[in-house]
Amino acid sequence: MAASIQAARAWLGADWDVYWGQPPRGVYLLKEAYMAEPKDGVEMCRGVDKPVVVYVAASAAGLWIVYGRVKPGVVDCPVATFIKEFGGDVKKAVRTLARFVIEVERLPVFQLNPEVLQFAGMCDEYPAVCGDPFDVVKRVVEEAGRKTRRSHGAETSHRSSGPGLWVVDELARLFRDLASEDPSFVDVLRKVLEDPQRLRVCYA
Amino acid sequence: MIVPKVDPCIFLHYDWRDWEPLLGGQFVDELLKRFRHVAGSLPELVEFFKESPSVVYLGLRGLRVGGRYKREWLAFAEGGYVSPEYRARWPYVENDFEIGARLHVSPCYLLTALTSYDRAYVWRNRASALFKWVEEVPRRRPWEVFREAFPSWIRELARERGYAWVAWTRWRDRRNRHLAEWLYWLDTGRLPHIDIMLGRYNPPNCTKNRAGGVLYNSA
Repeated sequence: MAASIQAARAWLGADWDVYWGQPPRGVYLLKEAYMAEPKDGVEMCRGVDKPVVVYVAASAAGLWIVYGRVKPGVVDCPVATFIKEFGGDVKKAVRTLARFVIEVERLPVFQLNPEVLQFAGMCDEYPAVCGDPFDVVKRVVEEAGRKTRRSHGAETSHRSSGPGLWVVDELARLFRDLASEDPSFVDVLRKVLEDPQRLRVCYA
Repeated sequence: MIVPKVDPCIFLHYDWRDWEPLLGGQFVDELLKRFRHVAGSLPELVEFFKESPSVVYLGLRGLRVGGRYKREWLAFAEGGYVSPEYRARWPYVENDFEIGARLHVSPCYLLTALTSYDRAYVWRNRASALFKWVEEVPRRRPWEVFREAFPSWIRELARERGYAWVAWTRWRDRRNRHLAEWLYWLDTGRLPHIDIMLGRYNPPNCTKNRAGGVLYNSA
């Protein structure tokens, strides 16, 4: 659900300016695949209680980084844009927007645009987003192998959610968030746990 | 107004000592200012670009560039686009040797942000051989990834016969100029058209033609 103006204002604080209108031209914080086209909202913008399309844009090192759930364009809904100038502090700008996306909008980190994180030099903070999918899978397999060998050697069966399982942690958090918002995801999870092989069908 | 003497491919040219003469001190200072959150010096900056070439354009928005390469810089800074065409002009070496791997995209295209299907399709269509060696175009550290991924037989060709020879081999009715750029870049970490521009093209492996004439002596 998109943040309301009040929620955004409360989280961002008073040092963010807000105006009615489209955000400045820049780079999107989310992957474009997760942003709706303006025409997709025609039905929603037709009623009396039109939702407000909210953008949050931060400027750093001459670049506007724009967060919004809808690609900027002509819409019939009112549009509000929060802006703030971060000077040359790109990391602070991106970190603030990423926290807003995760904490307020409650979107999974996988929707963040990896290019923006790479540009900000923040891939250490979001390794699952920045890494090539092939590398991420390879790393998980290697770490799982190391962990198996270690547990075989020491005859231990402790369960750890240490750095080796960061992707699993992220997925668990993602499912937890989804389940808290939409209880039907509990059923999805139950089905997957009952028969994990079923997942193969989806990706075969 | 900044007037560089080189096109945006410089970001894949890892010899940082060439940057200031080609880009100019003003441009280098501007880069250091815009990327100060990730690098404090030019060598560090080049290392960052080596790791993440596809995000360089994000830091160049609004840059006012003039000179011979104005159009290339504008397309790159404002649209994240670098043309996939070859740039190095290789001396002609007569040969009809055919290489069965299609790679008709310059390594410079790694700088292009794949923000649309069309841009990604250029890789699949014109560089289909790459996808036998990698699953997808790597977003990070492409130089290292491709150095490992390229098959040894194709890299040996350049070492044994020379880059110019590879450039004039064939894939169907086309020449393999792009492939020669790739092999030179993978071997040296530098781009051949920039080295040619600097008068440095003197590869350690000479180019010989079949008639026995030595075109380029080894250094």
